[in-house]
Amino acid sequence: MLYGIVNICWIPLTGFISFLIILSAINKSVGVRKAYVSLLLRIFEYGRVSIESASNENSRIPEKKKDTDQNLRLEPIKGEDSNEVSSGAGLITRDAVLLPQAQEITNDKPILAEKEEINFNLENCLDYVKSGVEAIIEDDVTSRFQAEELKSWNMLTRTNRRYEFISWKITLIWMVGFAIRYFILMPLRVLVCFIGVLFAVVTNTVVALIPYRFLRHPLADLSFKITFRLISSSLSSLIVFHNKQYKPKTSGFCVANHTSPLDVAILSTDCTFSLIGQRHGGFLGVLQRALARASPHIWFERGEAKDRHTVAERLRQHVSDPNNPPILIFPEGTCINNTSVMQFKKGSFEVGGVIYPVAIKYDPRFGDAFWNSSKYSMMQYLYMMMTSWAIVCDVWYLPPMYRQDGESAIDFANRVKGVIAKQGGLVDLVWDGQLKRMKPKKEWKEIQQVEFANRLKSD
Amino acid sequence: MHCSWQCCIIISLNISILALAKLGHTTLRSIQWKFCVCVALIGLNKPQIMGNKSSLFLRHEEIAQIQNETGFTPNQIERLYSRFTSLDRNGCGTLSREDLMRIPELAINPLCERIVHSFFAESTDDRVNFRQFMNVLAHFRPLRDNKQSKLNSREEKLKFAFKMYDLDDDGVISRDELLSILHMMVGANISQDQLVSIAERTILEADLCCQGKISFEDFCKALDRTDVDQKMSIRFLN
Repeated sequence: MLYGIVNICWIPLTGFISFLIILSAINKSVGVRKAYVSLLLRIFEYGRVSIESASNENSRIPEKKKDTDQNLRLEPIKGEDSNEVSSGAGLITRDAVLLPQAQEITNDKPILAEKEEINFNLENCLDYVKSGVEAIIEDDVTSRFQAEELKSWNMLTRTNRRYEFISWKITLIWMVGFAIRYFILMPLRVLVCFIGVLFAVVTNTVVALIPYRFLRHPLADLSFKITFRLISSSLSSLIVFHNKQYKPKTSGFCVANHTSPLDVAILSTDCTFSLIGQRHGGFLGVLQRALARASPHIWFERGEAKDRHTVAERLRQHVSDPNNPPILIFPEGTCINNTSVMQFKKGSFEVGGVIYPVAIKYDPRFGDAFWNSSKYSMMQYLYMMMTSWAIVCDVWYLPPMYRQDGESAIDFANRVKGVIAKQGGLVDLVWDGQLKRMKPKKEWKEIQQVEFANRLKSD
Repeated sequence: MHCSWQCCIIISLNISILALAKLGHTTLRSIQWKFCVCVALIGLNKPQIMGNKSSLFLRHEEIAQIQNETGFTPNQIERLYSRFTSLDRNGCGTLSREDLMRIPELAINPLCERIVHSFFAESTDDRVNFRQFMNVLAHFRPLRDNKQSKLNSREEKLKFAFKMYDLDDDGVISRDELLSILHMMVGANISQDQLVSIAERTILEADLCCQGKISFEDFCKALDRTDVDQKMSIRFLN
């Protein structure tokens, strides 16, 4: 019986697989994904209109008086019409925002004023009370570690506001979509992803055996790109690359904003990188070991990554060899929900060499690419991605940047961050992404205390 | 209702698959059983994924009640509720001090402990529920708002500010209380002697009944010329 199934299936299956691999090798797309995405957009638009009309009717019948509030009630959380959609956008206008650095331009710790007169009024503290309560209502940091809120529903239950039962048409669309996503797309995607990983394992093992360098390098390149093209196509990703003239070419660092582990796959479809990171087990581990066979990637053992000197030394060694591909680094050090860019770690900016900034902006309507690593495991995340509609994103290559004379690594990192934030339409934050897991440092509070002391003296 | 819908879909799918298996070849049945299990697993996964989202909804009565008490609009209440649930990491419907302190911008505020404490004034078990949370926030609604509520009057705002200083809740601000607030505010940047003299001078200026402490009436007098509405109001939009 099983033999019979295999007998029938192997021809179309091999055909399909080789078709996929060839397409990936020449970096062409049949256009299925594009058509699929534009169809989705039309469905979403239809859904939005139906939801609006349905909830208009719903709210009109029981409460006539609520007409004015209606629009607000439809979409409880409605971002501004600008690009910067943040979950709380527009709940309050904040007056005084405390930052983990001195408000003056001087980047160092504020210096204590020397004046001796001190004027204190009981009202002096009120500003701090207000700013504290404002932070409770809405703050710049915690919302960045949660999925971005959408303006209209994308027919996924994850961002659901009980929309799927708002009218029978929507329910039908949602059910059909559910069936398609789980029973057609997901098995197909798992298959393609599996093929991708298998391809990586096989080709890298073979390529690593080639003794001639001039042959080995381009083949390793090709195998790297095909692997990631397969993996990214397994998520129906539609990636638009802008400014291809700035594509990283020589050895150096490519720095990008970090939303999810998929960033790596997405950037690698167009350009070969050396990857750097911690050794993982499981699914990622298989891929890591396969890739490391044929090309120079840097994988650290768990303890080793903490040792900054070792890391810097390995990076320096890598960059000094002009044959090595650029290293792909996410200096934020953690995944952020793609609405902002947080503080860049200065490590990779200290080493020297060219920095190629890259901005990645996902389209959250087709599935939220953000990996909330404190909530979902890697497998859960992949499962969610494979059952989402698609991954649609824009990638901007930006002109290479060099550290200027006398510029500190931190300033340079901030400059690069600013450029990426501006291009990607992301909010440029000074906060540290590690706040996702760690508590704020004591020093930041001390900065506030110095500022207040100065205020008392200067008044 | 939400879950039952999904259960219905899953069960009906399973039944149809099993029915197909009955009709089909017997050796295929085991494969189809596995498929059923998969479907069921997907179904079980779903509520987990949306677990915290499904609690995003308040009942209409609750909204109406909070609206009455605080004067917030239903839209504002829903959005604040969504904020409340996202702060509530454990998903238990109430917030602990830890939950609030996790907000970095609040944690670096010199007065954060006092601000957080103000939310727990009426709680008995050191947790704050949504209604208590909203009642505290209501103090910060602007005065000019045409929908008046008793929580955002000038006096209530002043009372809130007064409680910031009144560490032991005895209705007066003593020298020591003022000193510890000052210490919170400036850290080690001003010497203890100077702080003592500031505290004593402030009390001397404000204290009208000559009892060496600042009572609430004294406090109001001292802030007589302050634009409390501007200093203690948050500009809520829409």
